[in-house]
Formats: sequence, structure tokens, C-alpha cells
Amino acid sequence: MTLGNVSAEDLSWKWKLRNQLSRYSDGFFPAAEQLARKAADLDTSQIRKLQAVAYCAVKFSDLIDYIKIQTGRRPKWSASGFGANLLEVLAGFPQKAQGIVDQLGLEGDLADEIKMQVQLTLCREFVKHVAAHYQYSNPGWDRGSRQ
Amino acid sequence: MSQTSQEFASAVAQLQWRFVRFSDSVLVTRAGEFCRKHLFNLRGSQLAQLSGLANAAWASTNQFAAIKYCAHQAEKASRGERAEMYALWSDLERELKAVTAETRKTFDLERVDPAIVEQLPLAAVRDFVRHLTAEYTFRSTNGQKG
Repeated sequence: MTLGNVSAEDLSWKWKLRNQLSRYSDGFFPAAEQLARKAADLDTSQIRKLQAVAYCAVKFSDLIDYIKIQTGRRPKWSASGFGANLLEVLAGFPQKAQGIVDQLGLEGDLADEIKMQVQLTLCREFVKHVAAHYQYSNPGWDRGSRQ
Repeated sequence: MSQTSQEFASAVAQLQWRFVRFSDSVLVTRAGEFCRKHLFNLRGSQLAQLSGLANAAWASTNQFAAIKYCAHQAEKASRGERAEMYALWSDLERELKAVTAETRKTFDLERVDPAIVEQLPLAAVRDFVRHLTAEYTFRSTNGQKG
């Protein structure tokens, strides 16, 4: 069966992928909450920029490089352990992405491409949760100053 | 879109994500290993010099500018201006040459469009320098800014 140009097989694995990503994303909650507490000293603009970089990154290493540079340069990223812990969490995502791709039964070039997309999506989801918890525990975030 | 331009777009897209994979794996690993090898050289002023290399890599339209920059720095160091930096710059020159060679081999650049032959090694050099700067900054002492 086909829907337009999309086959039933395509729809099936894409649907499974979406479910898997949602499940992983929901599972990030406790770790993201913990990390957001460590981010309490960070400026709001730093969290915003982190989120922007995560969303704009084309490569996994774009985001990792950004976090490494911020952690090396800014004491607020290193003193609380926020930068190093964030890197630790993100470093586990390629393996998680591989697991998801394996479960979907994808192979070859498609598997590699989906793996790269999945690891970036996982990063974005995690950073999104960190930013949400940060905002929740720091009211006034939208106005650019914490009250 | 004609069949030929569709094929071209598809080939470019495939090349793009192959490069992403190459950068995320091979270049990150190489930068990490290089940084570990030259960790003893890590000081604030040297990080500033890496910024000079990054500028050379990004400002130029071919990969040789960054390699020449390293050769020039190594030559300056050998004259005694920054003798302790000689090993770093000469190794970096070798490493960048190895990165371009590996890029050519991985993407089989002998058989593709000459424009791409120039662009991919340059992109690889730029990415390698970016990974290296990030790795060095991460391992350096913290607190230059707020």
C-alpha cells in the first residue's frame, strides 16, 4: 500500500522512530531537571544561546564544540559542573541513537543518516528540557532578568 | 526539476551527510588525539595562537592557507622566537596535511568535480581546527569571561 510517494513500510518505521524519540525524550526529565539546577548561576542569554546552537547545529560536533568552548571560557559553566555534566549526558546519545536505529531494523546509508539525525534530535530534546526547567525555577527568564 | 538536476541534488545531499559523518567521527578523534599529545603546551597565549590558525582557515578559499600558517609559525618558532611552540606547529602542519589527504582518500576526490576537490579538504581543515580549538579551550584553565 502507498500513500502518495510514501510506502507503508516507510510510514511504519517513521512512526516507530517518532514513538521511540518521544519515549527517550520523556525519560530525560530527571537528568535535565538535575542539570538545570546546576545551571542556576548561568545567565539567561547563555541558556538561550545553548538552545539556539542545539537547534541550528548541522553536526553533533557543532554542539559539542560549543559546549566545550563555553566550559573552557566561562567559570559559570565549569564551577557547578554544568558544562562537563552536559557533555557527559550528550556523549551517550550516539550509542542511544545506534540502539534506536538497530531496533528499527534500518541498514546501510539510510541507517547512518537516520542515526545522525536521531542523535541531534535527542540533543535538542534534552537541551529543551534543561531550558524549560531553568525557566521554571528562574521566573522572569523571558524578560531577560531573573527575579 | 529535470532528471539530471535531481540526480545532482541527490548526490550533493549524500556528499553533505557523508561529510557530516566524517567530521563527527574521524576529525573529532584526530583533534582529540592531537590535543592529548600536545597537552603540555597548553597556555592562554597559545590558545590565542590557535585563534590565528582558525582565522587563517576561515578567511582563505583553499586548504593551503592554514597549512602555510602552521609552517610559518613553525619557522618562526625554530628561529627561537617561541622555541617551545616548534613541536606543536610542525606537528600541526603535518596533521593538517594528513587531514586533507584522508579527506581526498575517503571521498575519492580524484573522480569528482574539481570545485568539490577544492572545497571538501578546506571544509575538513576548518572543521578540524574548530574541533581542536574546542578541545583545547575545554582543557584549558577556565574563567577568562563571566
